[in-house]
Amino acid sequence: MQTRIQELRKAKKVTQSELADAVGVTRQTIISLEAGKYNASLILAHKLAQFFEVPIEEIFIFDKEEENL
Amino acid sequence: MRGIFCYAVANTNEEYRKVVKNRMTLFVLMALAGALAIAAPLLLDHFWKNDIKEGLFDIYIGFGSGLLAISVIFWFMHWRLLRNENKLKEERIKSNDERLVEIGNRSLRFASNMMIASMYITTLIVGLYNTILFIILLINMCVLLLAYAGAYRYYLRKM
Repeated sequence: MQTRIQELRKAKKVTQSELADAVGVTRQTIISLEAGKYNASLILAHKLAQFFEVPIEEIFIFDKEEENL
Repeated sequence: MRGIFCYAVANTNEEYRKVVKNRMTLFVLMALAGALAIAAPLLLDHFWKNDIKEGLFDIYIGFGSGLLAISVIFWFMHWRLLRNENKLKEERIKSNDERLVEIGNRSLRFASNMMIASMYITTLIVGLYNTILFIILLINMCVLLLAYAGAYRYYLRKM
């Protein structure tokens, strides 16, 4: 799944480590999320949405074709 | 290896401190098990003059010493962890990290499949030469599959 985490993070001027610390995961997980290699759980998605102060659907780009819908 | 041995749900350092302390107790028990594995063949040999096969004697001593050494090293590593708040937080995040947990689960699933396949092949080969070993391996395979079925039913009700 594609995400806007990197874009939002850069706009907020926070490093991957700072974001990882804020949401309680490792920096490697943030790297994987930004690269679209790992899909976050609902809890992590909520934490990220709270951190960036935007709705979840603005962070995660849901592709219907990719999900075969 | 976090998926197998180190998964823990702890939201604060205090909660994780308890997890680490529990693990330290486990390492003490593992060290005792190692010491027992060393002592058993030695005692049998010394007091009862039991005739233990040379190779088996060495395997017991080697296995026991390995278990004892690893337990002591891990106990010491965890003891040091309790004295460093930053390291403790770092380890807590690593052991809670959902991606690492998922990687551990997938690796465990792959390893289980490999183990079933290798056990099946070994059982077929051993069966040609040794009936007792054949039955033991077959029972082991059944235990694994029954444990999976039992756990599956349990979690089906729980989730």
